[in-house]
This record gives sequence, structure tokens and C-alpha cells, in this order.
Amino acid sequence: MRTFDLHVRFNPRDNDKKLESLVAMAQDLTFGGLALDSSTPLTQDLIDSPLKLIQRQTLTPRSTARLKQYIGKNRRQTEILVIHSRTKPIWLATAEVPMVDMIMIRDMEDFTVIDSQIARTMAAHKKPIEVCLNGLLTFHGPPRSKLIRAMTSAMDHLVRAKCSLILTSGATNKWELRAPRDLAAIGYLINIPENLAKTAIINNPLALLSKTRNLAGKNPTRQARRKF
Amino acid sequence: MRTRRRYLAVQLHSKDELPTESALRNTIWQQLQELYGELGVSRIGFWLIAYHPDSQTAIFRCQHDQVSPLRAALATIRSINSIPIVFQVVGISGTIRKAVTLLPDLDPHMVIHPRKHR
Repeated sequence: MRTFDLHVRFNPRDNDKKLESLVAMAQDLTFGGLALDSSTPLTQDLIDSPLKLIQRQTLTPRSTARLKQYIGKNRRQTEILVIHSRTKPIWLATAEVPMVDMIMIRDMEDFTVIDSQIARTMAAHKKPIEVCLNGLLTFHGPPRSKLIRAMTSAMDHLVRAKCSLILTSGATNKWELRAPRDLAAIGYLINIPENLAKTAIINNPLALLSKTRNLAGKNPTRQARRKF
Repeated sequence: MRTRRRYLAVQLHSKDELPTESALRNTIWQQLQELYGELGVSRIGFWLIAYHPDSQTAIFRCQHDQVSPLRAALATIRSINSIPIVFQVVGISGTIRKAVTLLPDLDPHMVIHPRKHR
């Protein structure tokens, strides 16, 4: 079965972190596809590679008014539109917007915002939630302990509400990529049950991609405009 | 009663030359201690069974119900002696013999018999 890492933050300015090597590493780690920022420049070789490369765009709106403005502007330019929400009103507003594909949580502040109301709303609207595990790799000592505590608390709410979770690496270079099952194993640290972690790494990304593909087929305004 | 164990067949991906056996073992011990404390480490029962830097493969041992904690700890290791490294668990087995077959590049003579090192 093909597995996807739906969040790789490649930095094209850094020559040391070549995108080709990142893609090769993802193939070695048995990934079937990667989602890269829509600004990432892709060569023809990469487009033709067996690894499926998907465009994603992450927006961080400061208010609910800005949220609608941003979505209107960016929806057509990307295959997956992700909202990085830091406040409760934006979480609740995003849940009701069908044009947003998923909501991302990455930092300590993001996890502390989540409560049972947000979790129930996300589950009711069947909006997938991307849990970026990069912080667990980058932090050490007390900051990591605090992050694990915040993430565990957030996961308790989300798992109890039966939200659809998607685990991603949020890798900025190839050494931060992890094999799909190893990424799911990190879920153990934040109390995600093993079967749910597997679903979050295999089934849920596939379901999201097939949904976005179906919507793109039905509605031309949702069709992604590939820049390369 | 005999203790049930699991053997993790691991492929290593590294930027430069792979670390020495002691550096590898120490880094994993340190990571396990950071995450689970000494009590947790004692429950995991981690042991390095085989390590072959040329083929970039290794076999680790743990208690049969402690695979998830060990796997999570391996996945959170980013570097050894400042050299970036990625651990990829290619398979889990109940016997060393089967774990060796999961790593075709591993030299079977590199396997350290656990009983000799207790």
C-alpha cells in the first residue's frame, strides 16, 4: 500500500539540502508520495520520478475574516490547502469551511489550544487534523517533556472525539524523514493507540487525497494549477 | 518461564561513516533514558545483538511487549556524534535467525550471542 508524508518543509535556499536527495531518501524509506510546499521548484526529473509529489499550501490566518480572504486567494493554486490555526475561533471557523482540506498542529501553542469542544467540532465536520511530529525530533530535555505533555493532552481529546488524524514528519531535510511505520511508532510517545497511528499514516492520507482528487474532478475551481 | 523477546532488524541511513558500536549503543541507551527513565529502560530490556557498519544494518533486542517504546526511541534519534542518522525498522521477529534473514546484507558472523555477554 502507498503511504504518503503530507508535510515536508523543504527549504530551496539551502544548497546542502537538495530536493533530489530528499526524494531519494523518501523512496528508500518506502514512501509512495510526499507533499511539498507549493513554492518548491521541481525539475522534470522529479516530476517523472516514481514518488508522487503533491503540492500543499499552509496558511496561518490571524483572524476569521482573514481566513476566508486567504482561502479565496489560494484555493486554486494548490492541491492540498492546510490551515495552521493558533486560536480557538479560527479552529471552529475552519471546521465549517469545506474548501480547507485539513488543519495542522505543530507547535506547543497549537496543542494547548485544543479542547473537547474543538475536538467534537472537528469530528462532526470530518475535518482531518495533521499532527506534525517534527518537534519531538528537534527538541530535547525539558522543552520536549513540555511538548509531549501538551501533545498527549491534545491527543486525548482528539482520540476520544474520534477525529481523523494524519501524522506527518514536517521534515526540513532528508535526515528528518522517518519511515511510515517508524513515524507511526512515535505516536506511542503521545498516547496515540497503535491501530490509530497506523490509520493516521496509511488510510487517512489516502482518503484525503482521493477526496481532493474527486472534488477537483467535479469542480474546476478546485483544480490545482501546477506551476511547473 | 522463558522470557519472550523481539528482535528488530534495522537499516541505518547515515550522512558519513557510521558510528562505532559503542557510540551507537550509548546513544540509544541515552535516548531511552531521556524518554522513559531508568525504570522504563530496565523494562524494555534493550540489547544490541548485531551491528554491521559496512552493510549499515543492526539487530536490536527488547522484551516482546516493549517493541513500541524502543521503536519510538529509535525514531526520535537524529544524530550520533553530530553525524545525522535515520533508523529504519525493516522487520520484527521472535528469533535472531529470522531477524538475520530480514537483512540480506548482514553478515551472520557479526551476530553477538546474547548469552556470552550477560
